[in-house]
Amino acid sequence: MIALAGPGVKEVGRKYYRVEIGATLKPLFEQALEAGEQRIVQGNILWGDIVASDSCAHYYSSEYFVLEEDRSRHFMGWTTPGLFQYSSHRVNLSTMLGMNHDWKLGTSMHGSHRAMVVTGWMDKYQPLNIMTDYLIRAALAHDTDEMIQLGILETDPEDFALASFVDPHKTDVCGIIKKGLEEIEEEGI
Amino acid sequence: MKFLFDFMDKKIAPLFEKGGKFERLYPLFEAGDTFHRTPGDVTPSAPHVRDSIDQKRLMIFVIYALIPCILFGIWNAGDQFNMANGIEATLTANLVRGAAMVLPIIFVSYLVGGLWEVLFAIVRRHEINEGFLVTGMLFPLVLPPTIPLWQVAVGISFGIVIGKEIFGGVGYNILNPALTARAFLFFAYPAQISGDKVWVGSLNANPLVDKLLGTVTEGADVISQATPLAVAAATEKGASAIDALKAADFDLLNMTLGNIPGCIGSTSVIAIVLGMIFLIITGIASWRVMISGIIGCAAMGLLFNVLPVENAFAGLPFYYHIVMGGFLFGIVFMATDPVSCAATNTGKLIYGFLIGSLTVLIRVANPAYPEGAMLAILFMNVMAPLVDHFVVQSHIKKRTAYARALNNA
Repeated sequence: MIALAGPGVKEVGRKYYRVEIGATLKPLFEQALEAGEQRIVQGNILWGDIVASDSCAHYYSSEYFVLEEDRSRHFMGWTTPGLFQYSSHRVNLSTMLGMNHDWKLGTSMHGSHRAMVVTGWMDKYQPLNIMTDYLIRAALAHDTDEMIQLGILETDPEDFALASFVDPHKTDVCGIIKKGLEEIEEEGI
Repeated sequence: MKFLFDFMDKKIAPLFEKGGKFERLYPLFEAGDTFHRTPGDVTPSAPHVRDSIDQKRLMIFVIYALIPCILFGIWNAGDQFNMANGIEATLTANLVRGAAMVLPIIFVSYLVGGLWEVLFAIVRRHEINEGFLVTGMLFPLVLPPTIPLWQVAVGISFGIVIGKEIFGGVGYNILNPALTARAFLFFAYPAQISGDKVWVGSLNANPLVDKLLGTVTEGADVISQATPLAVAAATEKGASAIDALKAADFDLLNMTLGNIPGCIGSTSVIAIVLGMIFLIITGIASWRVMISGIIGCAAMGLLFNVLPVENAFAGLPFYYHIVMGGFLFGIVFMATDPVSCAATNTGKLIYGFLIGSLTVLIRVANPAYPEGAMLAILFMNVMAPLVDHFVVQSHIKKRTAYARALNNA
């Protein structure tokens, strides 16, 4: 049993399918997906893996989520009212007015990478009692002791997926935490 | 439009990319390119979706919050000039006169600061950072409208290079660059910027505007007027500071409205509060710093009222301290600079409170510097990492205690 979902799937195609483990999913994707460049994610959109369109049904796979590869560029995007874009911060008119549609999210970065400027925003989206900003800084500085003190061992990179999502500087928080955890493992602490 | 974009992507872009003719100038191209259209990058790995906010949007919202201050500052500069020179002027005449005084300052600040920013970006091969947009606008707003333009250029150069770029650019600086620039001018050229006297305007300031408005302004000199802070600080022992302020035509109403001489952007409490509400609603700047700063200012003011100090300034009610001088502008726009302020939430509360109380302390206890807000903010900028250190350490302590309790249970 797999579920096929996401804005990149045609309306009629968004449902459950019964497939054999090991069967190729190519015909299914060919039929159900919208035209254009699509990204197929096995698992959820926060922490799933990208899979090819001719991959096979895996023993553990239960959900495929399809997103449009959004390479569109918006004219003067930094100053538009933002009525038609989702943001969790109150900088878009859509969020300020509390508009609640079904947002169509794509894979766009919506901006380029910058040094960390704003602090404290990520903690709002952190369910654990963790100081996200300082944990990232410790990980970037390769300070394993401080990482452990700040509780990196209780976490998994996936816990920081929401923090990555909301970050206006487009920092790869999950990647930084993952590297930090690997470093600790290498040092055998 | 589409034709232009295609032309950019196919013909212009390759010149600046790796191997192109102008490879070294890529930061310049990148800034222009992402200025007119958002970048088309896609997420490299999980999480596959990202929020639609980016730093450009973040920074431009601070500029939006500054708009009331800018507009009021332009009008007020013109109004003060015309009043001081005894010219009957309409709203438009005030705006034109003010614009002729203020816009060159903003222009020079952006031009000179922008040159440094681009130079460092090209040499260091990083992107041009949007933080400069805010610095370049904040700096003119804390200057008196009659400051010589060469001083603006020198000041912003100092602020950008020493205050920011030598540390590595936006995100790495310790001090607020706009305030660093102002502090430099404050100590280097006290005659033009010092807190006790602000130049309202010299009559032969701009012959072009005179012609435009038909005003005759020949043969007069520079006119200067004292700011409320200077009046209050100069009050003699035993006298009431409120009376002294009244004698110099300052009361709570005109200090709130802001039609008094002072720095371009920081005279009007109403314009600043509009910006403050905007910043808090959009969540761009930290309300913790602003609110605790105002509370700190009020608390210290009250403390001085109660203490038996033989200083007329100390007897001033606390709300005067909030509306006077550059405190409110400082706490709303300068102290909340996310890079130089404390990074933890608890730290922000402590940081704001200390700025508020230090401002009043410097004003009342130190007669040499009637304006305490600038020095208080710069001092707390330096102390912010220390505040954070204690907050983080207490967090770690709590974590360890919790872990120990779990192990024992």
